[in-house]
Amino acid sequence: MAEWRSSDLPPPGPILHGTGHFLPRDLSDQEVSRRILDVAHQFPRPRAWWCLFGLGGVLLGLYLLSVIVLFWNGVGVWGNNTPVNWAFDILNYIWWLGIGHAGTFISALLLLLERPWRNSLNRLAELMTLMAVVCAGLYPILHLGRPWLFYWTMPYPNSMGLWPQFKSPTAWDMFAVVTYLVVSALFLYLGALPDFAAARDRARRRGAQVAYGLLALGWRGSNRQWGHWRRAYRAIALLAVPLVFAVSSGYSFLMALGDQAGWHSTVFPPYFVAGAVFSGFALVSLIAIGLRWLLCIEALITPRHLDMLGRLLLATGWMTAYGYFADVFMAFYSGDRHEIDVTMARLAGPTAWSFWLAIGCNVGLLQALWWRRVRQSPRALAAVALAVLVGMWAERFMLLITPQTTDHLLSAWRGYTPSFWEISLFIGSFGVFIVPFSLFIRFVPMVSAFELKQVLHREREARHG
Amino acid sequence: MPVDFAALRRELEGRQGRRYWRGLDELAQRPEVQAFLEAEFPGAAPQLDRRRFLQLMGASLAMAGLAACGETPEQAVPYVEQPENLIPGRPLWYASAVPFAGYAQPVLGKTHAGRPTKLEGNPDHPLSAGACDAFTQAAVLQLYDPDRSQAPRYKGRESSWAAFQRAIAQYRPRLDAEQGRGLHLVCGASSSPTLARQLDALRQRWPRARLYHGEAFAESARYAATRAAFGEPLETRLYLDKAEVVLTLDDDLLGPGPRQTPLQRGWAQRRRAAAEGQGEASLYAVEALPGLTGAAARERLALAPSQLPALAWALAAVLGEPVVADPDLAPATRAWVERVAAHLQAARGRSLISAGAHLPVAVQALVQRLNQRLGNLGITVDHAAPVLLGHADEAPWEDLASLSDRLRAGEVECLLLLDCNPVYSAPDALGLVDAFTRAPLRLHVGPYYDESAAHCQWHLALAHPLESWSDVRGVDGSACLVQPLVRPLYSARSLHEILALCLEDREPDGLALVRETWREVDETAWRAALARGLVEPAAAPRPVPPALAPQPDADGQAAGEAGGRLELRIAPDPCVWDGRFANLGWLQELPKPFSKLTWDNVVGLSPALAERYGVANGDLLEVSLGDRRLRGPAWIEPGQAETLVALYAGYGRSRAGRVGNGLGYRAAALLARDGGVDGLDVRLAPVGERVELASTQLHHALDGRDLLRSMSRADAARTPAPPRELPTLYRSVTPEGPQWGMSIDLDLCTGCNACVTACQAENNIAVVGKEQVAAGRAMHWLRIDHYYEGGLDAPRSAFQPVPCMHCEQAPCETGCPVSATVHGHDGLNEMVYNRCIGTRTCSSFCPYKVRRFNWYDWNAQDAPSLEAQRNPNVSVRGRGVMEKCTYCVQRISEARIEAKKAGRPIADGEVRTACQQTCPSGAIVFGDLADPASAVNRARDSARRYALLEELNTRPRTTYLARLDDEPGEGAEHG
Repeated sequence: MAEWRSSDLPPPGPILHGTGHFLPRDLSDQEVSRRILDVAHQFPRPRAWWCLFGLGGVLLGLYLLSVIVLFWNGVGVWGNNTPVNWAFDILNYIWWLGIGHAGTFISALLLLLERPWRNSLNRLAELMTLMAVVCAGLYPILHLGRPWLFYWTMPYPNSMGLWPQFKSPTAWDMFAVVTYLVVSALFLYLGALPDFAAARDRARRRGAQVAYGLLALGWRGSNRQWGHWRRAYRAIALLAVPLVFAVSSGYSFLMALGDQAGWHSTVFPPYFVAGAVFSGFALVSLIAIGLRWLLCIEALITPRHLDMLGRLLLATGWMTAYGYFADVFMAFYSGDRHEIDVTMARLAGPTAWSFWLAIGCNVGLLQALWWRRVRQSPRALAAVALAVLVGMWAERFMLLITPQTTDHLLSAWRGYTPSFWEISLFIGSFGVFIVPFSLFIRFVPMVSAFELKQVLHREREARHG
Repeated sequence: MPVDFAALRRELEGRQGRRYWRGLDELAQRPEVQAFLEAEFPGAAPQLDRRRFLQLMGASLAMAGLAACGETPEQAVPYVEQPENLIPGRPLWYASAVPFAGYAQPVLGKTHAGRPTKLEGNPDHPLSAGACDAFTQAAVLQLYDPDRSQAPRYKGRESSWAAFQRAIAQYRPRLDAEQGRGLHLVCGASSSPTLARQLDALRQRWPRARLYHGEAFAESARYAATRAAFGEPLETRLYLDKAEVVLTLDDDLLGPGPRQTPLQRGWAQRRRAAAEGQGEASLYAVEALPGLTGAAARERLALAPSQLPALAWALAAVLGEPVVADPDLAPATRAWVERVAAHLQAARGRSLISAGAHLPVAVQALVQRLNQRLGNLGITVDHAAPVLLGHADEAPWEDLASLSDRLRAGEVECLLLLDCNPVYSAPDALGLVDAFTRAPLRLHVGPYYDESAAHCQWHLALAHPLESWSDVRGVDGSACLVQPLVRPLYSARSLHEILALCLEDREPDGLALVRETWREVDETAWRAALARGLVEPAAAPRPVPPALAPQPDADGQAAGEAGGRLELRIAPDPCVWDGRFANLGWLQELPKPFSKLTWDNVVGLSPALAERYGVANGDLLEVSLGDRRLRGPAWIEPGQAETLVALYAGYGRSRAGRVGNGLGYRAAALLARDGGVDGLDVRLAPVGERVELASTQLHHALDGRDLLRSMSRADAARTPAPPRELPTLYRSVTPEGPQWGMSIDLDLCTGCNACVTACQAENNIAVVGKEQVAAGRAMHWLRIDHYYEGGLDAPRSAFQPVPCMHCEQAPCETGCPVSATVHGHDGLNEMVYNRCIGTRTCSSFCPYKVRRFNWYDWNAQDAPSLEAQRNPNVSVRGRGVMEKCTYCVQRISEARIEAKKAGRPIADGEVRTACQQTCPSGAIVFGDLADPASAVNRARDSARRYALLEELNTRPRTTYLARLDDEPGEGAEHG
């Protein structure tokens, strides 16, 4: 088979507003299979893939080095101090975990709401979720003073006769992350099961046949299997949707349950859910734009899909903006000296850059998405999405770190500067994301082929009567 | 640095002609050879950074020190018969004293299995009554300092006492023959009767020997002032407990110094009585530098040193002193003086004026006269025979300037430096370093191989007061016995033994030498004296004649014209004093009272001066005085006299030891020949570089926040309203057994830092080093917050000790995912180190930020050394766990065990926390809140009581009593 180029496909043509799936009408099942399932057997852009994988590898190496330095010396290699007990560690944990939420949102919520256009995006979104949860979940372990004892936060029968302290939001976090990790892994795997079977059937090499065969768990596409599968998939989706809200509320409690002014606020849980999904949509957009080029699947992830992502970004962005507004307003409205101190530090203190960067990226630049041309242009949308990711990181900085630098007691006010190993660990965590991610896109169908076929089939049925 | 033998060979071969050399001694002029000879760890030492060193501190000690601990080091076998009084696990207490600047700080030393671990003030001694200052608290660390000199040295190389004995035996006939001509002794300040006896003996035998004062911040001028006023040198003793109206003229009575503890106690006593309505307690302070006295004063006037004499003369004139001319003063200052004078006069016989020892003698003499005039003599101030040696009229010691002249004249044959370090502390202008070489034989006696030791052939290791016999007098003239708590850790000897060695060729016995001084004391009394630590009570007051009217010198009249001209003042550092404590990590890391700086000295500037020169904190400045100059980082000190440049001594040391070397600048480089700084042009110039400084508190402007409260006397006298209970969702716990709580009286806290060091000593708190303090990782469990209120140029300062609040609704407890911090049944917020995994949630949730995290394994490698000093009843925390104030839970447990054994409840006052025990003001009260009669409940039953951040409803067990405000001008109305 010749090298694939995106030009092989007919141009997408005018956007079809009538369909729920945003796909070209004349896309055949064979074409879908060829485009999606054969990627594993013959990758369209191997050089670009190797570049990505190589970059991921370097970053992963940096990550491992940073972890070794950290474990050898202790948390002191970071810039944390008293009062800034939590800095990049919890900041990046929240950032990564928030990103993960969009994947679940797209896959599970839209599945339950029966939005067929999700089928082009759900697989990559779920994968992103899983990777982001891994990146996030490592942070709470790494940030411990004695990381080798992290399992003490789990409820397990032990000779000490001790349970975790169930009142602690830090313990909730552990439960939340572990649950979330399990559910997103299951959701991803279960959702890909029919596609693994299809890949198995199309595989020509023995090794690939065996590997995909094992992964497919003996899927044969019987009606009975489809029935079970559908129930299981929807059941997990039903579990996953509340998790989106529970997990991000959970880590918002990490702050909101503390007495710290600037943290201790009831707006935090919804504020964090919105922010989490917002940042997640940004990364989904970015990955979708990258993958449609890398895998030559512009026909499957269409500008219409991008348009939809853009709208979601805009909507969740405004919810987040409301959070900013409510937070600042409530601080002054309460008249509480500590709240006002913290808010003034956010607006004009030494770390005010984080507030204004967040506003600029998450509220200012975002408004470009009111224009459809921006939403549908891959480059423009990618730029906005990148800005949102940066902005959300700055927002987490502003929310988490600035209040700690402006504690209740004036005498404890102190700034914070990240150390080299703290920054390197963060940059390295992209390696933790990219390396497995690139392996996945190399070997796992990145668009849910059977679901695409299903919606296409349904539409054809409807058209032809 | 390994010795470069190849280079040595080249050096020898390169010589022309025949040259004799004896070993390395002579070649040792070369710096690398010097370094080789002196380095403790050749090859390793230069790479040691401070932190690393702190960790390594003990390698040497473990080997040299531990073997010497315990009762019977010679027999390394277990006890067959238990020695009397030695019960494993039970500490023994010994009364002793630690000299500081010549004055006794009476202590009780706690020893565990033969190891001194903690010092407390001696409760039987009236000067201490159980309290002591930060320096005294840190003395026990000095005992274990591995950088202390461990053996005699000859030309830098380790030698032996036998070798010294041989050398001095050869020299002695020469001294005998010439009646001691050429023998010159420089002594650090001392009040030891035994030393006095020995020096008398020395002078009898060698009458032509000469003695000099070697103390850097000696207060000799006080004696000169009494000589001017009363015709003889006298000790001036102040009784602040009786003084209702006090005016200090640049005299930091409550600040660090040898008389801090008794003065602070007296002041607190007065303050407490006044709060109960018995008289008043008004303190007026005129200060050039921000001082603790000014912070405690109801009114503080910042005044440049040059203006002070004028103010004193003006005060005298207002008080009706007839002979003096009335100098020009600014109208506002004059009004102030008149108001204060009226108040002083209204409190005749209950007032007190005191003057700083650095003020002109005439001014100090004038103050003596004014006190007499105000009828204060014998009530708030009295006089006694001089305590310090070398001030009596019969044979006064001379100053270092004369020594310098004699050295240059070649009159000095043998120079003996007794427990002093003039090469470091004497003014460079004296040129002592160059002059030293003119003396053929130089000997140094000191606890460290310091800068002066390096310039002497012989260095004789001086034993620490906790390991030797001596005696010393307190500021009241009482004599304390210094008894060893442990055998000498190193091959070091006491000053008395060393002097005896010089005098006669016999193995000296420290105990016998001291006993000889007190031979009139019989054995029973001697035993009792040892047990109490006090061998002779305070000297009886000496009646004085009417003070002579001093004549104002030119200074007095020259006020006003100094406007705008920069002035310089060199003060001892509040934490390392003149540098003698430079190698003690506890004191280096002890935040200075106002700036909260650690590990550095700075050039203090008033905000106005900083503005004029456009400098910010940390900007490197060049300060020059005449042709001498130094560089130090600027620090803006609100409340400092506008034209004053403040320098602090104690830093810039090159041979303090591995902790204290190379920190800060050496202030003595600027001093004029007489040790003063007057009459020369001070210039300041920003260098354009910055120095990173490590401060533990970066924000001081209270700006209307109610963290540190004060209230008027009228409000304070009201019946306290029952404490406001905010609603809570948590169920309230029914208390059972004692409920511990603490009350801190902010009106009595002077910010002296004694509690911080006491806590550090008691609780094995790690020293982390400058870089980590700068990073915000200081480990003090108890910190003293300092706040400014009011304008930038004349702010009011206040201090607030902040230990753990032991909240009843503790946010930290809900935060911990593994229950590592839990609520004890007796109300303590307890920390379970073993269970802690280091999420730091507790610290994030703690609104008081009193929790301290072990970012690194602070104690990993210094374990062997600190084993000797550490409190065996307190866990040493490892890496990655949180720690904080425990209310000294080990002391509570100890008391509980004792009470249980006796089948009684724990008595009130039986448990005293380390901070409480050492606080000279008695500002901290601790006890059982469940007992309505307990001292802590009595203290809390006040309208002044408030909880820090009570709006958060954490319900702290530690509460505060608001400062009492003396409204400005209130006192004058009394008069």
